[in-house]
Amino acid sequence: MAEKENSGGGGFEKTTDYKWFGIGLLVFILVAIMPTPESMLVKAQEIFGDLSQEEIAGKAFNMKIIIALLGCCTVFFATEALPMPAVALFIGLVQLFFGITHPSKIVATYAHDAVWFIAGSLAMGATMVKYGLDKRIGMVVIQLSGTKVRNVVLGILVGTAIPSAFISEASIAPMFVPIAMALYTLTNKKIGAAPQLGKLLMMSIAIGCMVGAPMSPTGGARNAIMIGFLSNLGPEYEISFIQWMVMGCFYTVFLGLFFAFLLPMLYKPEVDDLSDAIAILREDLKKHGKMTQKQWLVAGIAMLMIIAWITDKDLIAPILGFPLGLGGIAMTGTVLFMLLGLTSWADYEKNVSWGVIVLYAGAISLGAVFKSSGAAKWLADSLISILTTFNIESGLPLAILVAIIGALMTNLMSAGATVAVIGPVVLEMAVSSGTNPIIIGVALAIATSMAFWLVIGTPASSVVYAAGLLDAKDFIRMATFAWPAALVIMIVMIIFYWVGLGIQPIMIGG
Amino acid sequence: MGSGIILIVVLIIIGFAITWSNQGQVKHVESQRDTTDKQREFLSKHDNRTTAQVNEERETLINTIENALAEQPDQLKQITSIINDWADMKIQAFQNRRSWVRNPDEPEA
Repeated sequence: MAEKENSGGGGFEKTTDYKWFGIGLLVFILVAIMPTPESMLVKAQEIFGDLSQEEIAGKAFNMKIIIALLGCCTVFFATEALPMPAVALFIGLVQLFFGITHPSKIVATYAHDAVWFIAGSLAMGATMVKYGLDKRIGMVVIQLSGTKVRNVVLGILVGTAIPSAFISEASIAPMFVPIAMALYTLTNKKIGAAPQLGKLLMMSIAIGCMVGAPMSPTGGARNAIMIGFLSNLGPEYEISFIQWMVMGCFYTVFLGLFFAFLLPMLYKPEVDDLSDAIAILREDLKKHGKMTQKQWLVAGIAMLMIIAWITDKDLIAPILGFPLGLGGIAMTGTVLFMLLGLTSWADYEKNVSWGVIVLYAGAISLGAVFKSSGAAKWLADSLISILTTFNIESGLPLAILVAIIGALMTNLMSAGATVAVIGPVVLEMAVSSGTNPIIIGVALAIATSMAFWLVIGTPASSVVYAAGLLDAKDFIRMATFAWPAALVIMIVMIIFYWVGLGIQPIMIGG
Repeated sequence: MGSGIILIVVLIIIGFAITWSNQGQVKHVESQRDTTDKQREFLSKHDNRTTAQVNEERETLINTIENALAEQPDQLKQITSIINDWADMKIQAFQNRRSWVRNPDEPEA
């Protein structure tokens, strides 16, 4: 499931569910009391070198606690047993109480440019929504998409996919639902019941959001934390905004085209042409008037931020002598919105989901301690030794395996949580096996957008389902075709497109 | 208990948790959908009229009572006021139930 940013769900409103909380704690305790495996002691010796036997035993114990924490967090993330930001803070508390990280350094494990980036992206999205720019996108879609149902579907797919790459899908889907509902009810009035048309339009919204999010780092906090995990491996694995877009656009374009053909076949609409409904809607939308000066200003700043993200390394860095970083640019925009009087701090407090920021800071902390404790190395090497039996421990086979695991897991837990718990492990596996971590990391992040199966798969799925025109079996029917197709497109992208771009799966000397 | 057995137990628990935990979230979305359905059904039973239709009705009613109560100006004033209040509320109710798409009067920032 994709992130439930600003959606009001996703464990932000709930209080503790003691049943799942207990099960999570049981997982933690079981792993913690387990005798420390010999392989952990060996790995601790290998990583930390010249320490006394007692100190090595302590390091191996820390590894075990972090593995216990990972298992426990997986249960908490999947079940939303605790409010999600509480899980993020719990990660720091375990480090504190078990003496794994020095108290003065715990806060530092939460700090990363990716956290600023997530905060700034959410602020940008909130300001755009405040000024109704999301609605303007919907209006443009209705003006340009023509009147044929197929064209309207394509328009909705493009109109939801592109904004979802930059604004949270939890904002995009609710804005498009009234458009689809108006088209559906106006057609209903004219020809009688048109349930298939309703399903088609609603499903197009959910799919557009799911397909668009992998296209850019701003498409979801999961993309941002993956960038954070990659940069923690070393500067050579830092991935720029434009690099991500170049890697991700293949998936968005080809899967979007696939859906533009598939959806009208799956939900065969009762009419081919929506001329009358579109005409009425265009008349209504015309009454909204032209864009105001402030709307242009907000759009201009948002565009400036996107251009700065794209050109940070190639244009800004040579001028300033250093890059601003994704987070730096995001914060510049956030402050600029306030300096120009376009928004207030109270608006940010109200419209930005601060819980999401805390949650992903926690994910960054988990990734950092997972790596620094040596637990990531131990788990990665253990898994690689198993995968070696099947000859899929490195290169493209590993990338494809990671994509499949990500695509499976995202249907069971949120996309962000999937990246948070699997990301550090698979990246360490990549490093250990000499595989390019960029391929593994981006493949995992993109694969987590394939939450097609359930009505709760993504915030957009929940929003369109709640509108009442779709049934749960409609999602299963769609996913039966879409999930394998998305995986095939993903695998083709990794093998041909990414390698064609010069991103080699095996590192030189690896 | 050996490490291997404990790890297998832990993996089973995690697998169980991941697989079965969605039920609560599904229930939440189902209840949201039920609310929408009920609201839609409730609104469909309303005597829904557009602004133009309400204004037309208002004019007809006022004309009728002006003719009927020409000699009772106080009552005419009172009933006219009631009709205007009813018409204004009817229009407002119509606007309120419309989404942003079909409600251009909704203020933009």
